[in-house]
Amino acid sequence: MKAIPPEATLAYLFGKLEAHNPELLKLVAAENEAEFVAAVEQVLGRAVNTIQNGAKQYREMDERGLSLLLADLMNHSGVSATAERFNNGHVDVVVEHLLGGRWRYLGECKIHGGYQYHLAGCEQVLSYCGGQERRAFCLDFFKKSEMYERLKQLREQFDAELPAKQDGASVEHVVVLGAFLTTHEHASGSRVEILHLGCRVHME
Amino acid sequence: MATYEFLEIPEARSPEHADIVLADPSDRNARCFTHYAYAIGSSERQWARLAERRGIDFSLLRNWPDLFARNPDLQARLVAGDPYWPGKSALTDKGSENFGPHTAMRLGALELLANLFSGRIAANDKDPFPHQLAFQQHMRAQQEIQRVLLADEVGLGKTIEVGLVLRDLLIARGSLDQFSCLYLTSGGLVEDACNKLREVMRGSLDGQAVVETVNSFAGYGLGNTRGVQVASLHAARLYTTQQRKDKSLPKVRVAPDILVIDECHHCACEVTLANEQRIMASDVTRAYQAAFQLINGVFWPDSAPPKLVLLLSATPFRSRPQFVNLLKLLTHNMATDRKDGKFNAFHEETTAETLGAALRDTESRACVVWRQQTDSGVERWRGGRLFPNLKIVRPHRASDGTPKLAATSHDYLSRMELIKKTVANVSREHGTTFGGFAIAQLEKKLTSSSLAGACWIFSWCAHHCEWSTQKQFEADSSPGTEAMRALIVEISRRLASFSKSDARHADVVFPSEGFTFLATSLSKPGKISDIYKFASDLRRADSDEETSAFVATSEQVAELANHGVSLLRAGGFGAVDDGTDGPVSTAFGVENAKLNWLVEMLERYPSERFLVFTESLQTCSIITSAIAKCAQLVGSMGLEARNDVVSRFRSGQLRVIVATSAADEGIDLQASNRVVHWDLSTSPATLMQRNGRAARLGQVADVTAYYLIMAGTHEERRDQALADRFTDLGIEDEGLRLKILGVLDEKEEERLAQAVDANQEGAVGEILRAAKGENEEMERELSLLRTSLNWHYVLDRDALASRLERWNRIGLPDHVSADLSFGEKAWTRPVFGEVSTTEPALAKVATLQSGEIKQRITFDPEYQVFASAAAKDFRLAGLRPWTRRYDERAGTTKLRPDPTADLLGELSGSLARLRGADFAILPAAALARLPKLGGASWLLFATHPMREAETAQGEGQARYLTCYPFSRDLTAPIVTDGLSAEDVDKLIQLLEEQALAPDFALDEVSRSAASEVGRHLGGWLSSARQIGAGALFEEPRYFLPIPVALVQVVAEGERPALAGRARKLARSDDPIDKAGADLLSACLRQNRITLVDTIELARRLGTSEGDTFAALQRLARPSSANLVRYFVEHAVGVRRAISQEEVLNRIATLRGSRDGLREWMETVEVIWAPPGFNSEDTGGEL
Repeated sequence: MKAIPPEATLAYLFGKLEAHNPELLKLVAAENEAEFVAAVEQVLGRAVNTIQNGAKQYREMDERGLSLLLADLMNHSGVSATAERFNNGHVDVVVEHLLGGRWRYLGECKIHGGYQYHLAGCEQVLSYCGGQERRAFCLDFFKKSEMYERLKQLREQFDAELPAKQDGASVEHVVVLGAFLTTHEHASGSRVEILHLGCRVHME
Repeated sequence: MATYEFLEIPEARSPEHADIVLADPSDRNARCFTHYAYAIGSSERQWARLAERRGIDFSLLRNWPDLFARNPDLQARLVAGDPYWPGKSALTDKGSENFGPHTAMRLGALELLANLFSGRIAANDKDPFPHQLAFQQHMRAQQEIQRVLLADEVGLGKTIEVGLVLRDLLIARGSLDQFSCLYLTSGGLVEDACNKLREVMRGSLDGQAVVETVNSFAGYGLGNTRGVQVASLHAARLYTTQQRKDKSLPKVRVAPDILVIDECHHCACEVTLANEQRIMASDVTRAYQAAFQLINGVFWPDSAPPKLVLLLSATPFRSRPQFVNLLKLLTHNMATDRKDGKFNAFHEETTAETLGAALRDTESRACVVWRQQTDSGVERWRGGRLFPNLKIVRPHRASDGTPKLAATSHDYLSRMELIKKTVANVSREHGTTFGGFAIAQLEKKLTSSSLAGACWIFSWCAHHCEWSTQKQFEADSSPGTEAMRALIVEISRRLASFSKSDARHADVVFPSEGFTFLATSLSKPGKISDIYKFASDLRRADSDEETSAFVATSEQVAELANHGVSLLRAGGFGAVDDGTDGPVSTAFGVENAKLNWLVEMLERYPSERFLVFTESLQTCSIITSAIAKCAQLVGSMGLEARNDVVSRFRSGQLRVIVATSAADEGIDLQASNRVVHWDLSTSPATLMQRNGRAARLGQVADVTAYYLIMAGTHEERRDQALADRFTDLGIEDEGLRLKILGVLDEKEEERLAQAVDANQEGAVGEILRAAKGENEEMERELSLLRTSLNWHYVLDRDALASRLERWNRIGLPDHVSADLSFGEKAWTRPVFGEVSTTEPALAKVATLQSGEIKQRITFDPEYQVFASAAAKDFRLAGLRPWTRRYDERAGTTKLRPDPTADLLGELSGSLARLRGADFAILPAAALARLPKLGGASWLLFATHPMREAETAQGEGQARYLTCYPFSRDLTAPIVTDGLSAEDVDKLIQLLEEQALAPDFALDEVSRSAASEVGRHLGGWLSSARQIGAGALFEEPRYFLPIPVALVQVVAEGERPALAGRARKLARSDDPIDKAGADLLSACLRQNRITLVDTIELARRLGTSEGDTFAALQRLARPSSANLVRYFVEHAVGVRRAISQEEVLNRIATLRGSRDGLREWMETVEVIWAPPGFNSEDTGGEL
């Protein structure tokens, strides 16, 4: 039997992907959704950082372009992310497990347009969730300055108004700077968390 | 006989555009047919007129020298007869790689254009209701209909329905020169009808005014007869005798194409009409004679019957003989398919049954349309009732906590009585009667306000005075004339006292007479010469009536005018405690009781807004002056001023709008659900319409209507008597009560008023019982005769928004000079209910830009209506009709969208003519949503620009764009009549969704096979086509599909896409894409590709390892569906394919041991291959 050429092995592919994402094994071998979500958020955080570092190049891009870029960056890190549908002015991002659709992590991306607009995005992503998902994300690209201040205000407003059946106050997200988590009652009766995060494409 | 072929004619100046035309290449002067003759909806059935409109002279289609210079092969192809076949443009070398997305966009654009005249998303920003659209669609689909009785119930919008039909016809004719419609209605409703029609027809013809009123009916024909001319039916009846015609009517040919008689129950006739001659007998009403003459083209000399007659009445049935005679008007002389050609409704053997049978005949050219508010088709677009629940409160005897309306003082009531008696006595002395109905009208003025009453008195006096010259008037110092002078000055002073300015006199307007006494003239003591002019105008207007008014004596005029002055002088302004218990009343003025009530209501409901309707302009001024945050809405205001008032009302700056009857219709006042009837109209239709003003777009809040009735007046007696008798009859529903009252004609109304006045309970009950019976009999008769109408699918505004969004995502072609962007606007939506609130909302908006021109549109009608001033920057998204424009360079006149005002039309027009956009591929799985397409392998999209002339239209729908599905054998379409508009829309959506996925492309084998099919279907089109009669004496038949696109339906696994993808990637500048292209080519050659192949290729090409890896990842992205990873495990002596799930499980199991995991991973080969690749069947040699 002919031997497998070394470059055609799974080991070679895996090594290549790990070079892009050191947490790849955790991601691929996640045993439960919590592990999957944690691994994806590492990937998401890195993709956001990459965009922020290249803000000068990316600031002219529109909502859809930035979302595609984000999805591509995540793909290169070993998840399967698609920025597909464009719905009511938002881009829907679907993150799936690399080797199969065991868990999904849904998200919405858009240019920041204030509380009401962000909330509409959250409501939209909640409506896409079937209720079995642990968490979804809602990412705002900030073309205006003072992103962290704006995120803080956003968080304060969420806590003050508890919109979209928000259950209790938000909590800080430990991985992504400025991000926070809120918990919402889903139409199915389950609880779904939303990760609110920002990505700065504004040059000071 | 012409030999027609399809030809693709490229646009001379823009090679990316082309038209598919059906023409005879050997005869460039013959007519040819093309997609872009979008005008639809002619009332003409004749081939000649249709061809004139639809067909285009081949020689006019293009600037031939220019075209030949740019396309040298075109002339040769024309001569050689190289015909176009479906798909040819994309499948031959001209086709771009983007043919799939471009085809989807082209079809979408053609579908939008097919909806240009659907009426659902029209340019006038006024969305019709489903039942209104159903009538318009019926009239468009049934071009042979010549006569219609439209008997829809009050409130369903008959005038709007007729306006939609007229708008269609006007657009189809393309110019006012080809369009003349005479619209007759009751004298008092001329302005009203005119306003409604203008609203519906706005924008239908390039901003030109298309609706006008006819000032003097006798002059109709001498001046402009183009467009819609609205005239008085009552005036028309004066000219039925030959003598009057000879004396007054023009001696020129007058022949309107379309005749509309609104309120046609006025053309009633009770006698039996057994022959045509009988019609001119003296016992037949003049109105009936006029209608007969107009409908049959004998009213004017050298006239002709109108081609379309529409008779409108909510109450066509007043008695059986009347109804039969109306049906005779409707059907007489209508063309039939019988040998004698025309139907004779006035034959002595014609009975109600034969008339009914003639109407119900499937070939009938006349029809009866009758819908009721409760019919299933009468609803909102998303279901739900169209009419609000109505609660009527009578504050003069309110017991539910509503503030009580104080009673008017006995002094005022007795003065009212005195005035009424004086007028009645004077009339009697001059041999005329001043009957119940007229008294009710006077009393309405007197109970509205003292000023309204005084104005009525002044008008009456002027009407019954006569001076032969201005000089004579000025010399006249008789008591009557002096008293009139004093009265008009007093009216002016009283009006000024309400004004916020310091002026001592105000203008006095008599709107129904179109006359104004200026304050400047009234402030100078003198003869007030305008009185002479006013009186002359009033008496001259009588010449249009059958009788003229008597001349009262100076003493009589003086008595009445003095009553008017004392009415005003005694009527103080401001609340005065009259010392009695109960609510604060006034010493005198009737307006004070009503004003106090309104102030109390405004305090009781501080967040609510109120619509106040009054019949009197003077009352309108009083209320506006007395109430804060209040503005008036009257007929004399321009559109801008009206809109300003309405928007301030909606935004909450105003709390009260006081409107006169001029504002009953035309402006949507849905910002309040509390309607106050300051003075109660006796017309049930008016009451219903005013209550309906408060109904809200898209959602109906229940309406509370307040009838401000003065206790102790005739009005109260009438209201109470009617309510009591209705209760006796077991009718409690206020809507039904209004409906039954609507059956009464003027004479019956007068009888009712007299019976109420005389307190004859039995007579009142009898009249109502008879009206109830009539109503029931009318419903029975009409239900037997009516044509059932259902609306057919057309695009709505949401579909338009989705289409534009998909185009935006697909990406418009580079040469299309338009930019689209989308967004949302947050705003606050009002929610009406018992207590009104608001809710946050997001409105979908878009910006269209082409060069310097930018248009902002919204897809949410409510956003535009209710949102703040910023929303005014947005136009409601809609389709506008095209207009004829002269193209100087081509030297031809073409139908085109307005390039400065209609970017959406420009964009659609441009996309509809994309070249190389006539082929697409659709996966079979996508068709699962359309079960009737099971087994379809090919879809042929075609337009039918000549569809009105086509014999078979399928499902009763006139479809401009359809699709013929074919199975593999290609002999005949699976659906013979083509798919419905709704299914075609679904298919186009599928193609658009498909276009959003990575492009499909064709390899040479598939291209050649598709071309073969295209040629074959070109043959089918030719053989199925019918233009006219095949032989002498043969019935002419038409079937004229013009191909738009060919779509191949492919099963999974046979996607011919990869070669095209490889070609496209190869042209990219991105090295990663280039590497991807090489990978794909290798994949296609070997039907598999491994990492080894990739590395080797990369090495050979000098591509870096990183780029190769990135290319592989980019290609393998799950959404691309181009390459899929397969895993083959090599164990000792065994090779087996393993699933992703299994790989995942092994990684999870082995993750604790890094070495173990790596060792196992070394035994797994990763193969990248197209979907459907059978990794288990790879044999020994991978």
